[in-house]
Amino acid sequence: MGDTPIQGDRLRGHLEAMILAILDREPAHGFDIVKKLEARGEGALQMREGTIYPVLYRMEASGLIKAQWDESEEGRKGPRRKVYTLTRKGQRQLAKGREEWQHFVQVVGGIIGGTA
Amino acid sequence: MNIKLMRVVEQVVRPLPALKVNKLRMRTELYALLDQIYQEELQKEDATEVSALRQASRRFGDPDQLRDELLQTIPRSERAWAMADRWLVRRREGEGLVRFSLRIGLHAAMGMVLFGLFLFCLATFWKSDPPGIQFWGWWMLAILTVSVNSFCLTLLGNVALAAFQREEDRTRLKLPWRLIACALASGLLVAVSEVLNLYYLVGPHWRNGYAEPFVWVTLMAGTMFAVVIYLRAREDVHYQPWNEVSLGSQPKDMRGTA
Repeated sequence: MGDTPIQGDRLRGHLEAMILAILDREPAHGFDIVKKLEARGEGALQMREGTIYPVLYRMEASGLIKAQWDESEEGRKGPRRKVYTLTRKGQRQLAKGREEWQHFVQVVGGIIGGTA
Repeated sequence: MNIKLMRVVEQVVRPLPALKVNKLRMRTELYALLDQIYQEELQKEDATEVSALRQASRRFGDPDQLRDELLQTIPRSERAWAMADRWLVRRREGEGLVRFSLRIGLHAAMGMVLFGLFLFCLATFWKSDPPGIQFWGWWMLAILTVSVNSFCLTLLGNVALAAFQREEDRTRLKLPWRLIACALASGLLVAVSEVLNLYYLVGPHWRNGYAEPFVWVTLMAGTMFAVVIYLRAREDVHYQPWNEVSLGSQPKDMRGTA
């Protein structure tokens, strides 16, 4: 049961908060974000990689993240990409999201009988 | 750039009702992502180009679903603007240059007619002073000159654009005389229209002669035309590779609207 992949709406509902958490450590471009999500999810997160961009665009429009073209040629073979960084609003949103998540786990975990 | 990867990206982005600059950004970013996935798949053992492309497309996601999700990120105002742009001023795939220019001329004439009606309503209902017959005579002349100018400038603009050639990531002026001739022709065209309108409005009272405004308008309009065409040619360098991607499955009216 623990190996059941997390995908679809279950994943989508938390994707924004997870992206904020990834970008809180360091700026990253789309492919990097997907790779970091996969690595931190230890293979349990399953997403179509292209779907990261609609989420990033939505977050950028909301002012949670900002994007800049990565003009550096270092270590880049393919076309140029945009690097995404967290804004102050994004940091506040992440802190709020973490609080809400803790509260959710506490309440729902207590009812279901998990480890919270 | 890999044309097969571009086609996957183009299936997602081309039908989207968004501004050109926004679509170019989507294309660039999605292509970069797909290219990285593809490279990763190619490095796997026993991978071929075909299998890597298939796997990369699978990992990238369903084009229809991805398009729907991207559509949600486009503001309504931008969608409306992009739709108007697509129907009114964008050239459709397979549409001949003369036909396209005629369509632009017709749209310009329709725009002028609507604006005239708006002015009429404004003057009649708000100021209670409907314009006289002389005004409408001039307005008819303005509609005629604007639509003829729109037709000719679209034609000349496209002919002048063909004087440039794309080389890698930059554009080069290959046929400078063609650009100069088109700029001169467009300057003359605009100047004739201006002088015609001026003559209709103040004909007998204009004492300074028409030669001076004619020369100035020719020079200014010709220079502006050349500058606009040059900037457009530079901008097209980024769009042209995507315009050249052909999508057989795309609805006919959406083809060639990259």
